[in-house]
Amino acid sequence: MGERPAVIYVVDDNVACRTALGRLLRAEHYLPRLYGSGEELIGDASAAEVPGCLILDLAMPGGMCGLELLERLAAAGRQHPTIILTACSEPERAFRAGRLGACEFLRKPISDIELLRAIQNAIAPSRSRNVADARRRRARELVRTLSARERQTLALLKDSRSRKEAAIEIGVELSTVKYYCDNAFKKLEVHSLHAALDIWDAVTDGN
Amino acid sequence: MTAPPRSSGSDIRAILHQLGQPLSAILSNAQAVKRLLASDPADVPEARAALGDIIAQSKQAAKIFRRLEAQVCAGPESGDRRAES
Repeated sequence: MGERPAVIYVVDDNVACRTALGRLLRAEHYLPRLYGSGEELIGDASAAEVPGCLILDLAMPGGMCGLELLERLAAAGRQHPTIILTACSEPERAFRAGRLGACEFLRKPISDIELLRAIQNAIAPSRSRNVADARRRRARELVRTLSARERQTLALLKDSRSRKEAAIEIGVELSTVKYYCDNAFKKLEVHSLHAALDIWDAVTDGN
Repeated sequence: MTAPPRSSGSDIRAILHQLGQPLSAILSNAQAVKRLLASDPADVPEARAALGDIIAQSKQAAKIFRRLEAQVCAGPESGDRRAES
């Protein structure tokens, strides 16, 4: 399954700048959402639900400044990986923004290559986290279908016991252990003990 | 006769900041045009809109530049010369 395009929230009070960024991002198959002020983003309830990357112009003289927006988002538990755009170097404000979760600072005018690299870096951790979460969820579903005996067998094999040792431990014939294994493999949709134990680990490590 | 008001550093900083905005928009639009035309199929309408913005923002930048020029020419240096003469 292909990954869905990432949502990029752009907050910039200059309409020409944010429109241009929107074009650039769409050309690169991102889903930009453009806001003219911090208030607009705060007011967009759907932005709280959809994870994405935030590109924020720090200097917005008209209304809520970039730092204030970051503070309010953090207070509301709505932190996005954030790329800060600044017109001039402002070390003090940059430091505060860094403490509020900003992961990158780019000076305007920004180069497209730098911006796209920053976005990739910003969204990569959450993407890999999503993939790992999905894998763990799937593993949990599969393991739930196993019978108590099949679980016991996998747990013993996981402890580097041989099938024969497992049979003695459980008190059944070796052929019965093989039968448990085959059933477990089928339920976990795998063809090897190695792959079955991978799924088993994904669930038991999470606990 | 009073001398024209001297432009302070903060005036000039404010104008410089204003100049940064259209320059930013011009660069991002130009880079967007390259990518819009390189994509398959090329997004010509969006590229054309970006070019329109580049023209408008260039004019805007030129306007701010002229204002900056006027400020600098009436700035402290020329003021000092006036005071000496």
